[in-house]
Order: sequence, then structure tokens, then C-alpha cells
Amino acid sequence: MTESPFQDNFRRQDTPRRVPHGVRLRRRAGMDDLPWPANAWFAAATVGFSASAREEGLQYAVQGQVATMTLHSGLCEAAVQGRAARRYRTTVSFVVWSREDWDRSLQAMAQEAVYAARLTTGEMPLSADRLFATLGLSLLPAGADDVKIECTCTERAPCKHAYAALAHAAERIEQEPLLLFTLRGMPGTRLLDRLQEARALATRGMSQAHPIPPAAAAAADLPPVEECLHDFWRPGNSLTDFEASAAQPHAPHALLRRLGPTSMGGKFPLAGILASAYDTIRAAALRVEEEASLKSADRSSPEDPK
Amino acid sequence: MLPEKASSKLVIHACWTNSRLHLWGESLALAHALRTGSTSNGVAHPHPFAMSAASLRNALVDAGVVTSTDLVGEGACSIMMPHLVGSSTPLPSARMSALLGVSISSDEALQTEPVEIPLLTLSPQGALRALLRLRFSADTLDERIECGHDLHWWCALARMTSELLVDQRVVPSITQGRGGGYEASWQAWAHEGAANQRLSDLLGSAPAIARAALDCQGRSAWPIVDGFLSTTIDAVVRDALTQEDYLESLADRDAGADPHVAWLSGLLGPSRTVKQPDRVEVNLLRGARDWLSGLIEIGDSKPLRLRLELQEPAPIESGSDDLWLVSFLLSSHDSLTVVDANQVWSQASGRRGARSSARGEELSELLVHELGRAARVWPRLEDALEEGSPASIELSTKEAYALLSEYAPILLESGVDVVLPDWWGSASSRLGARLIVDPVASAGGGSATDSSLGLQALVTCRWQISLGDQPFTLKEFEALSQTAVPLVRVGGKWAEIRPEDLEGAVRFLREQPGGTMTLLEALRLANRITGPVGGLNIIGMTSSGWVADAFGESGGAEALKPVEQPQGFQGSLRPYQQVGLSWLAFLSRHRLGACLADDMGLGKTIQLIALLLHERETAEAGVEIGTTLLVAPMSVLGNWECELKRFSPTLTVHRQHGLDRPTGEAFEKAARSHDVVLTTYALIVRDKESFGRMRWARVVLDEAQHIKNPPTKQTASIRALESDHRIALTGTPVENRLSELWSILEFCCPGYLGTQADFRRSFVVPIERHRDSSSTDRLRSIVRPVVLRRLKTDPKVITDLPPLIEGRQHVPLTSEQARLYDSVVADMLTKVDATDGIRRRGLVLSALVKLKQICNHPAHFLREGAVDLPDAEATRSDGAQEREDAAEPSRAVAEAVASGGRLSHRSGKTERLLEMVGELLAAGDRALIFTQYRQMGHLLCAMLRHEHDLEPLFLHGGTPQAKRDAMVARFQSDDPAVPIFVLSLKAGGVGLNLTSANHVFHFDRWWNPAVENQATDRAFRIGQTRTVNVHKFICSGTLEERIDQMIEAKTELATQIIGSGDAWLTELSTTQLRDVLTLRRSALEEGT
Repeated sequence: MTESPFQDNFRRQDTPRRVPHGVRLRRRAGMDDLPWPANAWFAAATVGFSASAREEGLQYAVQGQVATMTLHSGLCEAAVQGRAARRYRTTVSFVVWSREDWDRSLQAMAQEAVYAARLTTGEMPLSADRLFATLGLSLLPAGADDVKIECTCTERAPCKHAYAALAHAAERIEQEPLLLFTLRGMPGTRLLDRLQEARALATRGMSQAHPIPPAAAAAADLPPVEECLHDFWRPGNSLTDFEASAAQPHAPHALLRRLGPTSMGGKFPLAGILASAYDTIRAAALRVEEEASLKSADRSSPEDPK
Repeated sequence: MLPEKASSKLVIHACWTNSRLHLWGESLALAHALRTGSTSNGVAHPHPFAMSAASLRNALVDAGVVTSTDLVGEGACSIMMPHLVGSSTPLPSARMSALLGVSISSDEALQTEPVEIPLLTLSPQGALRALLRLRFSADTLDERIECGHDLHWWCALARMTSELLVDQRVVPSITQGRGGGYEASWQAWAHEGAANQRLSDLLGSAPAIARAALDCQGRSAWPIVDGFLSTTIDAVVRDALTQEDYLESLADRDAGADPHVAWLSGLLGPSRTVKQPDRVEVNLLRGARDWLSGLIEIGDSKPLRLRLELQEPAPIESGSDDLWLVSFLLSSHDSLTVVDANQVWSQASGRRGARSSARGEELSELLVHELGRAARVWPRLEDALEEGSPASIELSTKEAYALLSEYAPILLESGVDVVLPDWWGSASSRLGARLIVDPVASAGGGSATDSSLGLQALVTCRWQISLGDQPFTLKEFEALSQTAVPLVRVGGKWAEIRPEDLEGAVRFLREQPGGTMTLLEALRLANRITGPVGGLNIIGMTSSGWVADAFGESGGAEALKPVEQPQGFQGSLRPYQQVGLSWLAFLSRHRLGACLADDMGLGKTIQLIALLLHERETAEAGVEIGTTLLVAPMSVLGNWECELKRFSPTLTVHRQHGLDRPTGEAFEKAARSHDVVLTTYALIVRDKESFGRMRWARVVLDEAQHIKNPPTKQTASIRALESDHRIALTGTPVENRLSELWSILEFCCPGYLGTQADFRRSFVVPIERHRDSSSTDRLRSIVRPVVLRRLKTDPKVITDLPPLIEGRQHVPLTSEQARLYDSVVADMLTKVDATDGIRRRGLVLSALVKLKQICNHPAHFLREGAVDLPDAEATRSDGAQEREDAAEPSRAVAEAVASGGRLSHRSGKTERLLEMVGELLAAGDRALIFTQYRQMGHLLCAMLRHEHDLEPLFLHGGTPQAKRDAMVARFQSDDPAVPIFVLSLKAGGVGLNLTSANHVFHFDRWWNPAVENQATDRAFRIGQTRTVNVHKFICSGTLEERIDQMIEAKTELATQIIGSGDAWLTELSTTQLRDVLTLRRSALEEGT
């Protein structure tokens, strides 16, 4: 018999309602085998849960009672289907780091290449914990003040719904450890950009407003020069791909129009003057190309001396 | 003593150090002197064969690679370079090694040492200009100058830089140094889409040398690429803005109060310095960062993104209030998953019986988020966001036009998928002018001698304003001039007609009355080669009569009335060859030049022979068909003669060649009395006067890529030949080699593509820049009427092709080869009578081996530089000998280069082989080359390395099993770095599976067809999907040709030959020997 959402809308059931397409926890037996850092995070985030909330929450998570679960800046939000018709909205919030905290953390991470290297590949370096501790910060939830649980259910928090949501969050973090930064207020991609910049400042003595292109951030290390001695002069194979591909034509002023107004509060019409500057740039670049192509073509050719 | 020419040869490289691009060069003369030991081997560190900055400067300025304004100084830097362990001399670059004939075995132990290198320093703009010049002129570069491999990478980086600037993919930025001060700068924006991918390709392909300067060492190429991009872009932009006095607009503004003014003051002029405004709170660096970060968030990282689909209004009669609909959807990047907004909302809310689902909620959140993002670019979407579950919005025509013309491109850039009606942006929806061309009926009824045929024929022309294919009437014109929006419905179809187009059309018709002109002039107008600049878009031409057959859109080779295969033709034409014949005959009848550019192996030769027969068989009574002059490289002259004889014995051929060739009047008499005169490119220059005595019925150029650009004396002499008709034959992919295409068409159809400068401007530059598909398509459609190129892979051709095509290459001996050949034969014949028995046999056999070696290459026979090793494969040497073994033939290359030539030019076979390899490489084909001799294999490898800049695989009896397997696997993996596999017949002729090859060369002959076939079967076997072309090389006039003829004729002697190796020869009488071995003189390349 199929269950219909139109039946018994207001009757509480003894068992929780089934959620079509609900996400089931991959772990059926429990959360004991999570790898670092998801395990440490989950343990820290679920300190205050009662044994029954844990047990039932885990069962909910396994059965797929969590309809949605998203991790945003400082927040874990979920819709959990219980026995009542209406889903419960569960929110677990974490303390978000201040701008100064981030500046200090990034500066500290920039001192060691291992952070940029590991984080770029999506891994959380083991030493991260210690590094933040020296700054008086913790990437993992630290104490009751740090984890605020709210749920629309009638149970006294921390409830099983929140536990189920956090179990799902832990599995997401297992896949994507950089989400720990999101929970402290900065998305992983943004963090990587900022880290690259901080690295640039630390290594080259410069900080820049423009982000590093993803191609540069993601580029795998080339082999050391000493290992390329037999193929020292030839460009690698991807140059062929470069030559075969074409640049996408670009609408005039496209970047400028995507950028919109600045938030600097300047009164001078920045966009207006940059728009004409862009036209001047294009014209100048076309001139350079044309001169280069004609110069080589019209160069008088040496007649065959024979 | 080194000749002048070679001593000035140099290989140039680039180096990024000290935040500037520098050029440096290796001098062949210095390197050669070092190798031959005439310089004392001093201390290592200054680079022993790098050119001094001063002489490099002279050479590069002379060659036009740099101008003095590009240079800002001279310098030096230390680069870590590879050395043999224990050596103090750095190894030459890969390109220099090929010139020197050095090859470093991959087992050799190498180490790096810093080497001091003299540098020429370029200004940032100078660097861009110099690299672009090198890039554009790769094919016309002064032959003294060779580009190092690393330079190709730098040229690519320059191309990317230039593209970013032209496409306006640059952003203003701010940097902060350690000192805390701010600097404004212009930076590349290569953060998304193709630009990011291309940047990634460049970063991944940086050659090691680029990372070897002492101050730029690292595992990533990003610091170098970033340095080059930002330095160059900033300099070019600043320069352009300074020249136009942009700073002036800030003159009366207070940088202390306005952050925009503060920033701009460091962007618009020569100074980069920016002062943090003291009277505002905002932090400039942070402000700029926040602003720029708005560009980062594009949909790339999400599995689904917003798609907007614009639908035009339903066709209604009134047309007064047309409503356009934009629907919202979510689609995956590959467009395989598409969900429309209504589905999203119903899934999310569980409305209308659908179950609400987790996915539905996620999707609805995404949709709202994406709409919000798109609304930042296109504010019209904000209305939709106020609704509860927006699924679409309606637009007025004016708003639709704004979306189409203004917002759609920006939305696309921002990662929103925008689907527009097909007609938008297509030629059929824009107003343009079309040229109507009608041939003027010629008074003489088109007789063949009429000189005003072909491109010089007169045509009447008039312009017609059209919308796509539809002529545009005056009434429509008037109706349109009232509308306010450039988007109008004409005859039920939507089109973009801007007010300026209408005005332009009126003006255009007034200024361009048309009239009578030559076909060439009309074509150049219609093809936009010349003609009215600006004004109206020119969309092509409509023609009638034979002009339509030749140049109309429905014309072309396939559409022509097929021509019967000539009766006198000995053989049968394949269907595509018959199409080629019809096409050649048609163009020939109308005196229009033709370029037949079929892939190698498709039979261009026989299509031309068929044409010669066809025109004679179909000529009206009393009309005499004049002489065709056929110009070909020496290396294929013999082949032409054989093929002409074989396929059309009735055609009379005069071979204008050799020391005893007629000249002046005698030549003219000979020429007029034959159907075909065969000659070489070299003789066209040398006997200019003789060839200029008459007007030819036709001039045909074989291997027409010999017509070089920039023009040489040879090109000029050939263009000066008078003829009624011209045909060029070439197997290279002309449409991809633009300067070659121009040169060839300038021969076939002078003026057709305009002047070279016009051609560069309208095609070469745009096509280079973006692989601009519209320019490429335009050029293709312009040349389509006069260039016919079929590929082996064309579906129409492939069904006609047999799986195996065998052909012989009859090549001449060079005079050096002939001299050696003669002396060996004479020596043997004088001795042979005086001996008998075993000694006689030995004498004959050793002469035979010598003759075969001479046919292969003089260096093979003379054992130039060869160490004492058994030549044929009788004995196997151990691996240790291999290295020496491989290096030595290279010395012969080096000596040839040092004397200003190429090693391959000393033998007819190698010259032809390398030409054919060049052609097949251009087509992306792969080849096996079989030889009986290991020494010859080494020579071939050295020549391939030098002339085609590739490292061939070489498998011979001394190759250990593991290495063999690795070579076969590498070749079979279709690795583009190893398109050529040289094999010794004995070691490689059996057992291997090499189906990756589609060409098989038998460089020297084994008199047993079974052995050759077995070797051929390496490529021609199960797993082979393409046609295999087999090329058997035979030296004309030599024993190779005699024996080949005997085997072909299946003579009694031939049955002895086959299977007996060379023993049969020893049994011949002296008279027979003389007959078989003596060189037939006509086959010689003439003395120089």
C-alpha cells in the first residue's frame, strides 16, 4: 500500500513518516569510523546530547528522515521529518570568526606551504588544530557556547533531530573537510583565494586585490628542473591543447558590467571612465597585433644569393 | 673554414628574469667550432657558444625580429643548464642539437650547473611585439634564425596576452607591498571558462628551461606567467591610456576625498602610486578586493545553473503588442539535465499532487539564488524575484532587443546559460548588400583562345539590398523606417535592422551603381577582398550562367556534370577522381585556375593525366590543344614520366632536363611538338629565356608549396610564365597554412585573395587570434570554388578507396650518387673478366652492396663518420656500441649543415622521403620506414631529427627485447611525438603489430616481394581501419629499376631472382651484368 500525503495530515503516527528521496546516512551502524577531522568535529559538536537523542537521532539519519541539510556560513540547517506531518526545522549555529581572526589565521597558514598545498587538494592538514590553538582559536566546536541548537520540535534541545542533522553534516565534512572553514564563516574557495594572496604577501612581499586564477591555484607542481634534464627545452604536451583551442570572444565591457558599482563610496564615475579605457585598450592591442603581423610580412626578403 | 651562411645561423631562446623578458641565442658557428675542437675548451661558466648580446642584437634587428625601440639594454643572468656529468660545457639546446647532429641518449647521466648567459633585454611592449612577430612569421622567418623549442611556449604566452587585451579581459587592481604602500595595476582576468583552461594548458606545458633562471626557479610556472602577463598588460594599457591623456579627466578632482579618484590616479597614467585617501574610511585594497570578488562567483562550480530561454512572440497578424517570453530553467553544464522552473516549484511545494521532496527544495533554493545572481547583471529579472514561484517573465520587443544585444553576452559570461532564437546573429537576420552578377555573353561564343575568359571575363553587376536570401523591397523599406526598435518582423521572420543599416543601404545604393567589370573585380567585391569600406554588410553574390556553376553557392565539384573517363586512359578512375576530373575540366574550359589539394595517396597525378587526355579527346575538330608545361621537383620528375607512360601512352612527353637539353629556338620547337613538357623548378629560373619564348596552354605546378612566401626568384620566374590556364597540385593542408594558400592562389588565380597585406589583415590575424571561426568559414567559402581538397577520411572518398594502395617512387640519383655509381660499375667490370669462381662471385656481390648503398645515400656508401661496425645485420653488436653508433651518422648531418646544406639533398631517395614525410606529418598520418641497413637507419633518423625536428623510433637487430616492446607500445599508443618508426627489415619485418601507421615506406628493395609484403603487413593487418599507402623507392636508371622491371614483367630471370637473394647476379655474364648495372643517363639530376 502506498502512503499518501493527503491522509491523516494531522494525526501523529507512532513511527516517523517516510521521506521520499530522503537522504540516508551511508553509515548504518554508527559514527565511530569517521576519519579526521570529521570525527573530531562530530564529537565536539555533539557533546551535550543525551544517550537516547543519540540513539534515535542516529536511527533517523540512517532511515533517511533528514529531508534536507545544508551547511552555510556558521550554520547547519536541516528539515527533519518526525512523526508529525510538518517537518521540523533544525538549526545548529556555530561562532563565526571575526575579520581579524581570519586575518591572523590566514597569515599563520601562509607561513607554511603545507597549508596551501593540502587545502588546495581538499585535505585538512593534521597540524591545523595546533596552529589555530596558538592563535587562541579552534576550528572545531569548543564548548556549549559555541554550539547553539534550535529546533521547531517540542523536545527539549538537544533533540534527536539536531543529532540526525549533525550526523549528516559529519558525513559531508568527511567528503569535504574545507566545510569546517565554512562553518567558521568563510567558504573553502574563498579561503583558498585568500590563502594564496596571503602566501603571495608572505613570499613575495605583496598583497593584491585581484584573486589568483583557479588554473594557477589548482596547477599541479611540475617536476623539479633537475628531473627534466633530458627534456629540458620542449614545452609539454598541453601546449598542443592550447594551440588547438580558441579564446572565447568577449562582449565589450563585459567584466565592467558584471562588476557593477564599487562599495568604496567614491563619487567619481569609475565605470564611465573605465569603459572608455577598455575601448582604448582594445584598440591599442589590435594595433600591436597588426603591426607585428605586417612587419614580418612586409619585411623585404633576402633574394637567393646564388 | 666554415662558410659564411652557416656561421651566422643561430637558435634563439627567451628567458624571464629580473621581471623582464630577455632573448638570448646559441651560435651554430661557435658551437661547431667547439665540437670540432678548434677552440680551446676554456672554463665553463660563461656559456661557450651563446652569442654576445651585441651580435645577437645585430642579427635580430637585421632579421626584423626586434626593432631598436623594443630593446632596453643588455644584461646577463645565470641559468641552470644540463651538462654531461663531469663536463664543463653545457649541452646544446634540443634545436641546436639537431643542427649539430648531436643526440644525447636517454641513459646518459646529466647534471645541472649554472651558466652565465648574455641577454638582450626587451621592454614589456617590445617583448610582446617581438614574440608576436615571431609567431606570425614562423613560416617566413629569415633562414639564419631558428626558434628554440622553448620560444614556441613564450610565443603562445604572448598570444594569450594579446588576446586578453583585445578581448578586454583585464581588470584594474591594487597591490600592497611589504612597506605598506599601495600601487595600482592592470591585471589579466583569466579566471573563467576557456581563458582559465588555456592558462592551465600554458602552466602545465612550461618547458624546464623557463624555470631554470636562478631567480625564477620553482615547481610552478605561475610566478613566471604571472610576471609576464601582469608586466606586459600593465605596460601596454598604461602606455595606451597615457597617450590619450586619460589622467586629465582627474585634473580637478581631489584624490584625498574620493577613493575612485585615488585609485584611478595610479591606473590612468605612468605612475602606479596610489595614496590611501586620508579623509575617507574605506580601505582601498579591501574595497578593490570586494569589488573584484564579485566576478568570482559564477555558476561553474555548481552542478546545475540557471538557463534563460527566450521565445519570440507567436506569429500574429496585428503585431502591435508582441510579447516575448523568457522562461527560467535549471540545466547541467552538459545540458543533459534540464528542469524547468514549474517543475522545480511543484516538486518543492508538493503542489498539484506531486510529492514534495528534498531535491525539490534544494532546486528551488538554487533557482532563487541563481535568479538573484542573474538579476545583478540584468535588472529586469528583479520583478520575477518578487513573485512567489517565478517561472518566466514577459518582455516587450524593446526589452527583448536589450536582452539580445546587451545583456545576453554578459549573462553568458557570468555563467548563466542563455538560449536565444537561432536567427539572432545569423547573416539571414541582418540587412546586407548582395552582388548580382551575370556573365556577358562573349562575342566569339566562348572560343578557347579568347583571352578575356576566366577571371578577366566581363560581367555585369548590380547591388541588391537583401535580408539574408530575401531581396528587400522599397515598400518594406519605408515601413521599417517608422519603427523605433531595431527588432522587426519581416515576412513572418524576425530580423535585426538598425536605423543606421537603413541609412547605409540608401547611401550604398547611391554610391555603388554597379555596371560592367571583370569577374575578378566582381568576386573581390562580393568576397569583401576589396570594395566599399564600412557602410553595409556585404553578404555575397547571386550569379547566373557559368559564373554560378563555378562560384555560386550550389556550385562546386560535386554538382558539376560528370565527365566520362577518357577512352585513352589506361586504368580506371575512382569515383572521386572522376569528380576531380570533371572539376578540372570545367575550370579549365572557363580558364579558371585550380588548386587540386587532395591528400597524399589519392592520385592527383592521374587526375591531371586524365584531364590532358580528356581535353584532347573532346576537342572540336580543327582545334589544337596546346602544350602543358609541368613543373615539379627533381625528385618526382621520374615518377611523372612513368605515370604518364603508364596511364596515357598516347601523350607525347618532352623531358626538359639534363645537360644536353635544348634551349632557345630548339627548345621552343620541341615544346610545341609535344603534349607535355616536364621540367624542374630549378630550370625555370635557369632557362628563363627559353621558357619565356612561348605562351603555354597550361602551366601545372606539382608540389606547389614550393612557391614560397616571401617571394623568391623562383616564384617570380614561375609567375612570369605566360599561359592560358594554371593548375597547382599540392598534398599539404593548404587551408591551414595561410601564407602558403595565398602564394598558391596568387599563382593559380592572381589577385583573387587580394594583396598579401590585405590578406593578412582580413584573414591571417583574425584566424590566428581566435581561431576565428567566422573568418575561417569565410575564407573557406571564398576558396572553395578554386581549391579542391579531399581527405582520405572523407566519407565519399573512403568508400572508394581500396584498403591498400601500392605505389612506386621513381627518384633520380644526384650527380654525386651518379659519379660514385659509375665508378663502382666501371671498376667492377674491368676486374670481373680477369677473375672467376669464388673470387668473381665475391667481386660481384661486393659491387652489388656498394651500388645499393650509393642508391640509398652517398654517406651510407662512404661510411662517413661511421665507426667500424658491420653494416648489414649479419652480426649483432652489443648495446654498448649503440650510443656511438647513433651519434656518428649525426656528424654527417652536422657537416652538411655546416656547409650550408642538408644531408638529405645528397640523395634523391632521402630528399623525396623527407618531402613525403613532411606531407604526411602535416596530415597527421603515421609511417613505418623499412631499410635493410642499420647504418642507413641511423642516417635516416639523423635526417628526420634535423629536418623535421622529431625523434623517430628506430628498431634494429641490436635493440634489446624490452626496448622493442616499449617502442611498439609507444608507437601503437598513437603518441603524436613519435609519428615515424624506422625499422630494419630483418628485425622489424615480421611479427610486430604496427597498425597505428597508415604509410609504409620501403626505402631500399629486397628482391623478394614476399619479404616486402610481410613487412607491409605490420601495418596492413587486422586492426587497421584506414587505407594503407605503400611507397616503394626506386632509383631511376639504376639496377634497382632494372630489377624492378624484370620482376614486374615476370621474366624467367625474375623467377631466379626471387628467393635467391643476390646470388643470381653472380651467375650473369659480363654482358648481362653490364646491361643490368650500367646507369641509364637520362635519369640523372643535372650537374650543378
